[in-house]
Amino acid sequence: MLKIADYELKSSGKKIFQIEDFILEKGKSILIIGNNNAGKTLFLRSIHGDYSDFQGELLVQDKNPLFYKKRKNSIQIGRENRVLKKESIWKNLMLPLMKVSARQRQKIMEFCSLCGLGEIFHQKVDSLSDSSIKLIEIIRAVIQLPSLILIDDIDIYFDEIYLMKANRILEFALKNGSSVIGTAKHKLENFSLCYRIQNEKMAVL
Amino acid sequence: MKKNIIFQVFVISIILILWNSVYFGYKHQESSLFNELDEVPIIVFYANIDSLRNFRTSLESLSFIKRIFIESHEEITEKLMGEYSLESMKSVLTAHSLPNVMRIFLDHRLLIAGEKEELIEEISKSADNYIYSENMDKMIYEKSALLKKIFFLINILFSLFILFSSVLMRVHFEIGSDRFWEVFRTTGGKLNLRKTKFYLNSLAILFSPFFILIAVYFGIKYFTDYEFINTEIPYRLLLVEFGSLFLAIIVSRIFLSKRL
Repeated sequence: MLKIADYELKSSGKKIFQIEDFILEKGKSILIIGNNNAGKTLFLRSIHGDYSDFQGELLVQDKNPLFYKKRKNSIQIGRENRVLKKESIWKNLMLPLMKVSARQRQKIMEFCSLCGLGEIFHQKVDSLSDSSIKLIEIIRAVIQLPSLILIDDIDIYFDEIYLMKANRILEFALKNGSSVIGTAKHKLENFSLCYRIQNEKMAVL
Repeated sequence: MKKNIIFQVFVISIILILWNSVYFGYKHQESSLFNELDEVPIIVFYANIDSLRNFRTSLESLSFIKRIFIESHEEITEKLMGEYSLESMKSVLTAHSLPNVMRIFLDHRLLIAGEKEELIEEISKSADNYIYSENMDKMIYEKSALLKKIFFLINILFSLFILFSSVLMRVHFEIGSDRFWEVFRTTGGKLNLRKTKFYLNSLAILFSPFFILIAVYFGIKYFTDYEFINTEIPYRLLLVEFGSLFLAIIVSRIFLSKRL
């Protein structure tokens, strides 16, 4: 799914960290932890194809992320809320979907019920908390089953209960062939592997 | 179709309807001027009735001749005596032979530049005398030329107005939808869908107002007694209008190139 070799991430020409060899299998989830300015967000952006100041090989499904010009092969959930606040929860969930199958609709309903959004589909998003908005973003990403789901600073939005809900939703994506990369400041449960960025290197814990 | 596209189509349709109304107004005014001139005949005098009839035959083939009336000198004598009770002056009137008269009415809308001058020259060569209201002719043609100039200027103004208003509306609504497209793209939506939608909406904005305009034209022409629209669809004007709208789309595309 994701292959990285001889990778060196830079910011304004300055080296942040390097990865010699890294492979993420289909259906696996990893967590990358590190302090502030460790380069977690830039790393996710480089995988997503939004950041190109790096050297080495980075392939998503054997192709450079920049290859995906019509539709990205990954979905990044960042710190900024990617929702239309004046629109309803349902419209926000449907936003990137051209067609919705009955199965997708059923799954969305199921996930929304799990998150306590089932009864308030038509409510505007601006009345929701940031953690609920992040759950909407996760449901919306999962339902599209992209190759990669990239979640930045996952520990910021969720307490333990919400994190469990998010993980249950992400499980659906993992079972259906997507892979998940999350970043956090501290180690969290429910990820296949955990990596730490330290001393300009990314090492498995 | 989105509300803003419907709004843009509506506004552009209103501008086009106004623009075409100005055209029909111009045609109506021009027609009134030439109708006035059409009613003033060229009066030609001939002593010989046969020459007059021969000349009439030569004129009849010309497309811009509306109608020709001939009055022989006998008819004129009879008319004068009847209308002014001049029976007692009959001997005087017959002694002084009156000329035969031909009145030529022209359809000035069918005249090509120089044709009327050619006709007057022809008349001056063959007729004994003629009356032709040169001053009125000049005045009407000057008025018509002024009207044409004003209409030309109005066309330029409408063209600029439709260009600016279309570009402003388009850019305004596209900027307004920036947040939607930003969220759409970053949440897994097709990256080039905004561009595709821009072109599809452009087609709707380009063609829909003309369908509405033509529907209004035929609606007024065939379902009302309103005589204002008495000419055919001005295809050349439609082409100018279409060109202005097309240019507006290209300008909008250039302004929005980074966003699409």
